[in-house]
Amino acid sequence: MGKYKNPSRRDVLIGAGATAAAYSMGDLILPNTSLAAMKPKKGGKLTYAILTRNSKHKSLKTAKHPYQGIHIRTKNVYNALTWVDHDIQAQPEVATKWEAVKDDQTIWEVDIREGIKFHDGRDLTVDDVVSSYNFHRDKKKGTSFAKKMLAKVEKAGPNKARFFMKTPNAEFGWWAAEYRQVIMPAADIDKIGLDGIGSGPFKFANIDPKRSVVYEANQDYWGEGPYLDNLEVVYQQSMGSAMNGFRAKQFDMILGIDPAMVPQFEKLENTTVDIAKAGSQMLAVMPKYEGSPFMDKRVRQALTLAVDRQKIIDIVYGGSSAWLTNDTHMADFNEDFLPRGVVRDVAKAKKLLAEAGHPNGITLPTLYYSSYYPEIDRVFQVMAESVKEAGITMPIELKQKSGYRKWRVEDKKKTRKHRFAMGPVGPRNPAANLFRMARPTYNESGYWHPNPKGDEFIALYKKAMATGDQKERRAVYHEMQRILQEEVPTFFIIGRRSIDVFRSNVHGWKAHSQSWSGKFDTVWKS
Amino acid sequence: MLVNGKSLGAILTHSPGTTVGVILVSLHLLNALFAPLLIPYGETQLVGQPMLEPGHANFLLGTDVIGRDFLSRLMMGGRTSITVAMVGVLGAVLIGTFFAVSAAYIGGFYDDVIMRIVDTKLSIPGILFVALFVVGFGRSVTVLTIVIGLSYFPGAVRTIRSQAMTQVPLAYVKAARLRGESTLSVIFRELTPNVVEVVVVEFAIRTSSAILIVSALSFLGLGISPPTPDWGLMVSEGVNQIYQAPWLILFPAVFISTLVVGLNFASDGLANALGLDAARGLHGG
Repeated sequence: MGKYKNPSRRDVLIGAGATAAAYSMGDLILPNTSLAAMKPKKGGKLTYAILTRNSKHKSLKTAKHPYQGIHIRTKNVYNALTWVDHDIQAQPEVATKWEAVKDDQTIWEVDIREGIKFHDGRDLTVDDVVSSYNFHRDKKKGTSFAKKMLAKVEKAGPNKARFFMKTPNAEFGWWAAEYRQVIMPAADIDKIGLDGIGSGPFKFANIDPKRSVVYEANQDYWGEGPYLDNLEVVYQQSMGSAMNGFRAKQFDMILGIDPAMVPQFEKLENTTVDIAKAGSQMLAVMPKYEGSPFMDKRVRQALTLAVDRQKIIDIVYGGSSAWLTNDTHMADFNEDFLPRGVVRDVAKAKKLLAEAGHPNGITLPTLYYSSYYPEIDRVFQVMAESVKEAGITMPIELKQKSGYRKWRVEDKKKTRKHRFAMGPVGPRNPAANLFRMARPTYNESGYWHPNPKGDEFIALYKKAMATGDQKERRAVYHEMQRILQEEVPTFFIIGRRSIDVFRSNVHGWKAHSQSWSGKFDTVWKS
Repeated sequence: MLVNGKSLGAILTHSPGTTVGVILVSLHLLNALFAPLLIPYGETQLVGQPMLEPGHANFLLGTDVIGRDFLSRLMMGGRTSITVAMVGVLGAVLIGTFFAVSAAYIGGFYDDVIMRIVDTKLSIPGILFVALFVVGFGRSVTVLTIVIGLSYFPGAVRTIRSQAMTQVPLAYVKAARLRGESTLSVIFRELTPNVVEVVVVEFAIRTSSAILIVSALSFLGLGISPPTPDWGLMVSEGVNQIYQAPWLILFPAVFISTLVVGLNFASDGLANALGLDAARGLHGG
């Protein structure tokens, strides 16, 4: 055991000198923790790369519309009533308060924040909220969740709007955070949103269709920030080019990197790798029509029991940047998430297949997928290999991302028989997740209606949405998840955790589970 | 066996380059044939940790991005490319020979139609044609083989036709006509045997090019679909790991290049031994 020795005068002087030097070099030694670095600094430009094109526009005429620029692009320019934070909780944005004014959760009143200005200097008022939502719920031009759920919206006071839902919606706060449901200056339905004027922290400065968007700071932003003068998002087709751009200092940040590249980024100097709580899931829609093997529930159950999800996590995601799905569209960060009792059971899978008339195994139709995520190829290869153990042969085929979604939809229209194909789904609240599983019109539901269990599921969904008490609602959510886990209308393969990488001089950014909800308002560079 | 008065052995050892080429091609063909019997692990089997370095006790060339034995995948990786390239080009050359020889012999309007079709196809950039075809008709091995055949057919027609044109005015062809042989008989029995050397060289040269096209397609995500091992696909799978696992690109690249170089050396040597100009084939598209 070492002996304590009183410090000499020399020791004290050396120590004091070292402390002073360390303090003065704080930015160099500990850039993220030094006092100087913690104080936001204004100015500068941040360029970030994304690997999904992040925009739908084909011409500059519609390029600024919130429905054209999706995901983070929308959050840069626009505000919605609410925002989903990093802890996956709905937070006030344009709305300061929202409450159900009817017990069955069909009518909601929302208080609108005062003092918000649009980029053109106009005040954001309740009329803008009403006009925006009339657009969002428009049958032809509106957006999915609003069209399906909102019956009417009206002005209920100088700073209050009233929302009449078509059916109860106890999760209104989450619903209002949907990325397309932004607030725009009031205008006719044909024109609203085209000018690209929002109330967000940044304004459009320049758009290069399909390639990049440059934003400039909104100096009259109502909230904290923005600290950056300019922000640029650049689309990169491949992870390799994004990484090379990062190494060459073309980019300060890459959003949604390939998990296999984490060790490479971690080796780079002054680089931070940040992993979100969750991220999107990969699912496979199992076609159910006469002649399809998926008509038999036992085949569906066998498939989900056969896949080695833990192996996918270990091999593709380095053991940490993914999570075990539970066949329900729910994300594991959610408190309402109900884990599967048994994650993998090859013996049971074989038994189910034998009972279904496939004692020697089964060859499934080709499972199509597309490169929505950089690691997707590896996920599908590990999956296809792991189900072999249960006697399941699963041919897989990679389709080009361009036109993939259209191909799936058109294929369904043409043949009435959709493909055994992969789809990506983002993490949302239980209401949205389970609603998608209930509706036969959604691809994600696997079109499992009509079915007595499906009807029971819908009845439970309605009950949950009309239940104001969160604990009671959770019990219903659990019951719904048990049905999905038993019926397996859709095969959920794996859930990923979003991984972002950025330079250490970038502060205030955290990887967000909902990639579209990340905001740059409080991000700054030292 | 004698070709053009030379034994096969003499042709294959015509020059050091030819010998090297023949050895490389032979090794690749033997590997493609016997790989299923030789590979230490299943080519899609997950057997180890991802990206183990070459020289590992259990995996000579390490493992790939998801922990499959890299040597096994490399050995199996050429089978599909070689099959697609060889069958596709063989089809192109065989069918092309008929059209080329018949166009040269019959001439006139028939020749014009054939050659304008050939010109039209040659005006479309090769990789673009193949990519569009695959996007339109899928990326199965059959589709890839057909598109490779279609892609190399026009070039083969042009080259072989020019050789056939030199034969048509010769006396033995006139004699055959005077004997009353049918057009098909002249084409198959008289002219075709006299262009066979060009056909052989054409096949060899175009196969090396087709190997590169198939690999490029796989690299671009338009060719052979995972999990089937393919060298181009393996390069594509490893490209993001270039800084931490460069061997994932290096080894498949070496396999592709040795096969292509081997084919080029062999075909060049073959052409020289037979007194042909190999470069003529390369210009045919």
